[in-house]
Amino acid sequence: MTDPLDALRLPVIPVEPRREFAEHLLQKIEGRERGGPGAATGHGATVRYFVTDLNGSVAFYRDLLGFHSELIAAPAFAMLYRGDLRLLLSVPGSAGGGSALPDGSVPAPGGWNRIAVRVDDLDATVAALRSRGVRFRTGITSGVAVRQALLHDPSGNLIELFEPGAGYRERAPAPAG
Amino acid sequence: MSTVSVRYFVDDVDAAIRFYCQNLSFREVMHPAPTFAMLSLGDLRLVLSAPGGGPGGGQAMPDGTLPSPGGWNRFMIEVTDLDGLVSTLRRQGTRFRNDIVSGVGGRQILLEDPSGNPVELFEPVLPEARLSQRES
Amino acid sequence: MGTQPQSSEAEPVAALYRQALPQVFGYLLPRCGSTAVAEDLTAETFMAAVAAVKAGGVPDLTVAWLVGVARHKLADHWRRVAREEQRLAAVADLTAAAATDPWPELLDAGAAYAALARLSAPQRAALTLRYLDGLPVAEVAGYLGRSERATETLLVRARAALRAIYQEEGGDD
Repeated sequence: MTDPLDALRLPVIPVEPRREFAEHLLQKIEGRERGGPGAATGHGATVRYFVTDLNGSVAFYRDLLGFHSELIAAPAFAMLYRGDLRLLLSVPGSAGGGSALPDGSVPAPGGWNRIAVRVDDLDATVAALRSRGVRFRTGITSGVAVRQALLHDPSGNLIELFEPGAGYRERAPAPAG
Repeated sequence: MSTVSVRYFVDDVDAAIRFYCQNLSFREVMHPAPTFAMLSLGDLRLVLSAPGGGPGGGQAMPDGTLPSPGGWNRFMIEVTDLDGLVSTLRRQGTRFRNDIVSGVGGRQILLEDPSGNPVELFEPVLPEARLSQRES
Repeated sequence: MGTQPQSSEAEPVAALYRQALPQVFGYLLPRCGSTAVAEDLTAETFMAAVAAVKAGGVPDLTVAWLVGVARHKLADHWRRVAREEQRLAAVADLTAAAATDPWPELLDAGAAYAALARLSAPQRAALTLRYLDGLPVAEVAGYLGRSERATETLLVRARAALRAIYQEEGGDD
């Protein structure tokens, strides 16, 4: 008995794409690599979170919190974006950002420090996430010029959702006069 | 322009403000209460909270647990002279969790702020720097 | 002279490009069914690699690592296509009755690929990852964002659907 899937078990065969495409892509790569620090985005900020299940974590941030997955290098590393936030997910014990330190300690998820993600309607967002099984550490509380709620990602890292209120500002006020 | 907010818990908000502003070029946006401050560096908004401080995010959880500094999750800063900055910080007694690590694309190190929170410093390899090295 | 300095430390992706491009494109092309899609995903793979290197997130830049990134780009593409193809759920409802039919002896890879292209995106994704890439079911489930049980079910239906289309196409000629 034979199976059409047998015909599909082919090894990866290198294929040269058309020259115009190949040259244009190389120019883009060299332009981005030569652009110096921060040339790719020009702005933004980067945070690294440690996670225990890379694929599950990517799905959590992408499908539930609206992140875009820029790069997934399973099982060790992923790079996600939400606005100007670049979130790196690293798996402890993997080479690079997740590797053990000279004293033998290994990074781990958790802790209290966290990213704060801005949403337009905190009540609706919290209700929708709860209905999809997301675990919250707190309900909605009031902070300095914001309302906020704390939730867990699948690895136990905290994420703060906040909705700005009256008096919220992100920059120092301009000097008077 | 949108910004990125990160909250770090610190034992002493004033000491943390001095550390981040003097060493890492952060600017103070607001400091409306002894237990709360907001600093900025480019698009990064760093919120500093002292645990148990009431409004400002440092309050206890519903079960009474207080937040605390530390952990491994962190924000990253791109720097242009990693060796110089590390020397300066070491002279001031700043703790580092490792030594400078070289990898594809650049070099990095993990420091601790005065409360033990990690900050990742990354210095990318610069094509212009490589070019000038070849010519000298 | 007037040549561009080739600093592989500063431009690691460009340095690997000549060797890696045909591997990444060759991986994607038969799995995309379209040169345009394969080119888009190839470009996305390399540009994402540049961003990751600049973020200090790549400990070891290799061709195999890039193909891994390409595989996830492909899965993301299928996920987007699947959302647009929900109306083709009828294909997934083909019963397993066809599984007991005898198989033709002569197999045609071209006909098999053509049949594969007619499946729904989730079925095509599941069969490709499981049988072209040889990944275990648990890993396939991870790529597709489904449970293992749901993935097993998807694979059973996908195999049945593939057989039915293949035979309908007269693949045993």
